[in-house]
Amino acid sequence: MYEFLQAKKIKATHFLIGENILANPKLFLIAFDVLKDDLAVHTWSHHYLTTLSNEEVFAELAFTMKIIHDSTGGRLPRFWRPPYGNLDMRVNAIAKLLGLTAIFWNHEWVLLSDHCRINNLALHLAPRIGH
Amino acid sequence: MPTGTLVDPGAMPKSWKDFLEAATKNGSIPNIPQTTLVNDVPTYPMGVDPNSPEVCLADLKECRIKGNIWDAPDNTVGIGTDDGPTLVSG
Repeated sequence: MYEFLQAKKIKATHFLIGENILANPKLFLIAFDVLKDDLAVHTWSHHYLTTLSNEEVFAELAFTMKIIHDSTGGRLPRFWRPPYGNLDMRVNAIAKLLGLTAIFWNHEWVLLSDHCRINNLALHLAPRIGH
Repeated sequence: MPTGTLVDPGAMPKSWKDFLEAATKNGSIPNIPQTTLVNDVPTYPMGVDPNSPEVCLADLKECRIKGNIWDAPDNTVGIGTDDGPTLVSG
């Protein structure tokens, strides 16, 4: 997908999973160095945060911020997206302590296969993006 | 993406733990119970209203907490990818 975004000159924000950054450091660096896209937090391990304690929520967010910070020469993410869109006032307060603003969504494409949906996405969006 | 291995809050540096403890003591974090998953739906104990302004559970799409972002500005499209980086990302 990163190749596709680059080829079509589409800017995106990547809501990243800490575990996956650890497992795929080279791909992370493509998003950062090559695409130069915004990197945001999607928690360490993709749990429903409202099911977790304050300490667990804080750790899931903060360790993800830390790995992004440490892997980008000091860039600190400002945005995050709750896994499953699961958020309440308690989890939100903890995220705000870390300086994080949540970004939700109002449309969703699920990639069934890399190529089919990506082409549809391009045709639908390209005229409106202005690149 | 499926849920992975929960991070260990015990592994946090002391400064993080102290910060969180101070924030808890000064009332910065609302005292809302944790949910449990019932058929994959985060569910509060009886008597807690997820749509009340005090709780404002986002999942039901009826409550938006102020200060977060839901819609792109007019005439713009915001694109995001979730759950990366994985081998599909490349």
